[in-house]
Amino acid sequence: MLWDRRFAAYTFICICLLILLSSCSTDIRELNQVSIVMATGIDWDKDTNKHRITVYTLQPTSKGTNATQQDSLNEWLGSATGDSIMESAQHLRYRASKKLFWFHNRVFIISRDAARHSMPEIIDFLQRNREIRSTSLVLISDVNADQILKTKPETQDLVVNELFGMIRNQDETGNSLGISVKDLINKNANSTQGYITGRVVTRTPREKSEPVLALHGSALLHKGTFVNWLSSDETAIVRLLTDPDKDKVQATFVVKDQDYDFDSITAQIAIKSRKIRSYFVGDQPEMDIHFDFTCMINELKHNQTANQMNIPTLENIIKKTIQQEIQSVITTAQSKVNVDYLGFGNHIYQHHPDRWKQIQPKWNAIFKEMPVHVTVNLTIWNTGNVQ
Amino acid sequence: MPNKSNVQAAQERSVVVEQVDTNLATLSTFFTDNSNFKYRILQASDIESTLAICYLDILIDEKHLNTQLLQLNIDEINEDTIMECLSAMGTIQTFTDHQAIASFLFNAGFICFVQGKEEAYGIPIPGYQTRSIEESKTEPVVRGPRESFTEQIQTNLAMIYRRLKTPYLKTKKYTIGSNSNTEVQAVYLQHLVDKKVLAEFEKRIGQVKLDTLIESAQLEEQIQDHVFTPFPQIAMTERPDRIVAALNEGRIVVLVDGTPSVLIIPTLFTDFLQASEDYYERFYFANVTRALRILALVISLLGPSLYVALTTFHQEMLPTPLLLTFSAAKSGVPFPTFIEALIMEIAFELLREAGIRLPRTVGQTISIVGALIIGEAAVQSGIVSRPMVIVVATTGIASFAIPAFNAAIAFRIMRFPIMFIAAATGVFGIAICSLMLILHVSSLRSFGAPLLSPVAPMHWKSWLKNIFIVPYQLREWKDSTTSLPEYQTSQLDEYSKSKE
Repeated sequence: MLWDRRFAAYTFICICLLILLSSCSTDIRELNQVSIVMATGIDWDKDTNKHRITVYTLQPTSKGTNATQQDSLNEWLGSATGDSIMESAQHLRYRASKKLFWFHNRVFIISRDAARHSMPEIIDFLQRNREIRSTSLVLISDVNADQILKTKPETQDLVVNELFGMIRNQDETGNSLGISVKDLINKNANSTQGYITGRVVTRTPREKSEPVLALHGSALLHKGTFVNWLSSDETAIVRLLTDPDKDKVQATFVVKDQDYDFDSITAQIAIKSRKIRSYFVGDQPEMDIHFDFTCMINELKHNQTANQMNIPTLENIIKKTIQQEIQSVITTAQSKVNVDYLGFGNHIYQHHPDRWKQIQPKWNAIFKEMPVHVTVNLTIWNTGNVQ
Repeated sequence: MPNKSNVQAAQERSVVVEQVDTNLATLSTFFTDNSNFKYRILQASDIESTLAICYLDILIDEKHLNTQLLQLNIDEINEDTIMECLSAMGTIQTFTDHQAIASFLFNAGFICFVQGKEEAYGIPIPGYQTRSIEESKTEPVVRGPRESFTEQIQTNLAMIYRRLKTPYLKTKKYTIGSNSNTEVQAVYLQHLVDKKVLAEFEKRIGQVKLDTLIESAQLEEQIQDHVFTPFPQIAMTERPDRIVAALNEGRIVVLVDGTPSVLIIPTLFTDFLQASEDYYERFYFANVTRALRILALVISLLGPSLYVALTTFHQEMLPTPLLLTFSAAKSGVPFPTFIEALIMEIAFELLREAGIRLPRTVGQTISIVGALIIGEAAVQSGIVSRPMVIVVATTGIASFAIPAFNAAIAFRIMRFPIMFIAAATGVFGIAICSLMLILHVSSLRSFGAPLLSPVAPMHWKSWLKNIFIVPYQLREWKDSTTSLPEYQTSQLDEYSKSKE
């Protein structure tokens, strides 16, 4: 009984306090007082040595009050410059009429110059800001980021949704990708490994008079700086080699082979199994890479319809070409770019941690000379023909 | 007329004497200024065979009484003929005390004094109007028995007896209320009832102090374990089939004359979420419905609070398209979300209250006006946003989906303080509040049985019985019909000690 009475008294006091408290909380952020940032662009100006941050925000309002009312998403593109990225972001507040709300930011566009000059600051900014979601995607643009965000979307959708859709579509071809802020931070922490993320470009297609956005290949980053662009085909091979979710990756190859009756074969491949093995011959590490692909013929230039007899031949041709392409990408990484963005260093670290400690200081030199043996097995499971 | 000194003497002793006129005078003193008290003296030629009949004319079937008395030949009145006539009218009760006679008259009986007898004979012949057995309005079902309890305790008891034809069925009668002298019957199955609970019930009902007992809620208030909690600890029903099920589970049911609400002792929290129809439908459907009711309970308690917390503190937890929709709806609304929620909740509660109290013919008007105010006008005038209307409406519907009205009220009340907490501290506050609420409910007892069992204390086997429904073939306990395992009531001793 005593406890009951105490409970009642405490409840009464709590309710009284809460009535007072409920209007005093400083954390309250009413929905009509915020501007929702959907995409952010980060630039660096060479001439002034200043950073510029551009935000693409939405302030939804509803027109009319009846049941058939239309919601309109008021878009606002604001930009501000400053000596650091954080300062630029704070300067944005001079122009913004509402509180900027970054939690729903989906895409970060970083210009090539900014990626080349101030990637560590950008990563630090992304890491420290508690409003930034680690699942936001990062893309590198070869023009200024504000230009990308200014580009009129091709569909009636938001520019950020278009970009998001494009990144999602890349899983079918593997020609580009978008990595998350979390992956960017993690990969950047490893100084021996390079990594790639999507490249966004503006181009004016033949049927349009205004430039539109497109994803094209990827950008190679290493040790907190931009290194090089990778073509779409190279990106597809890199994704086949490194993508952690191997079941999701697909790639399309157009094989041209004059030696046989088949002039041009378009094949879509998916990974059935991927085996990467690292071992040491003396002090020299070596890699064996074995792929088991499943393949679907998408298009075939041939006088006759392909039949069961042709399948082994087709498999051989495609297999040979893919093997060559993979080998060529590895060779380019080793000799031309000399950056390990294929995850070999990581593989050795995981499987031979002691040996890795010894070779890590001279990894670049070792990587350049490391023998890599690629074998490919391929099964056509669908010729694409309707019998 | 009787001699005055004799009357005083009889009043002092208040016992039935041999003289009929003395007895009448004594009894009349109990009914001074009561125009409904009637008596008739049938005097035979032989003065030794005088007969007096007393009754309250509005309570008994006077026509029946007259018909029976006509058969009595005045000239042949003697002890044998009187007893023969009375026996034909019903079971004869014998009284020697005027106090008891007065009570008997109030219980719709008539009293017969016979000259020369130091006792009076009473026979109940109720003749007042009662409501007939109707379909339950508060607990309707699609499939299952339609009848529900009435205000008359005898009718209600009969409904139980008709369903449980076993000699183990026991009833204990109590009279409660110094003015009302209301009849209360505790019913249980002797072989299933927990003796400790029965003893505790008898102890508590013996301590009840009431002038007038009108509704079982008054009794509930005095015999319940905890007074200040908003949560009920004794379930109530109007359905005889539910009562029979409760008896089969070893519970005690308490019927109060004058009300159709019957109490079930002890009660588990899961009882508030069960409807008798659960057992009449296929078990898949019943389980889904029960899960739905738990969801309804959560929505009814936390619905508006979660909306307030998510839209003012944790916008990051909402999916982007949903946030954009909410944000668009919120534009132009002058009030903070919390005030919006409060306005709508209060409007809804007002409508609900008005809907219950108003006459049926006006009730419909109120629901139309209410729908217009809440659904259309509030949004059109820009006072509240559209999602808020949906949240409040969903919460309202959810609270009506809880079968027990008294439990639903408790959750409806708790919704408001939680809303305040959510407006001050967001989801964090809701989490703390929910935890406190769970701790509080798990500390409650109903006649020693933990209210939240079998969840707290955890008893997995009982989950299948009290929370889910499994087909008969899968029930391990099919040999035992009781659903109150010993662990639930074993704490009674310990609990009673702590209360003292």
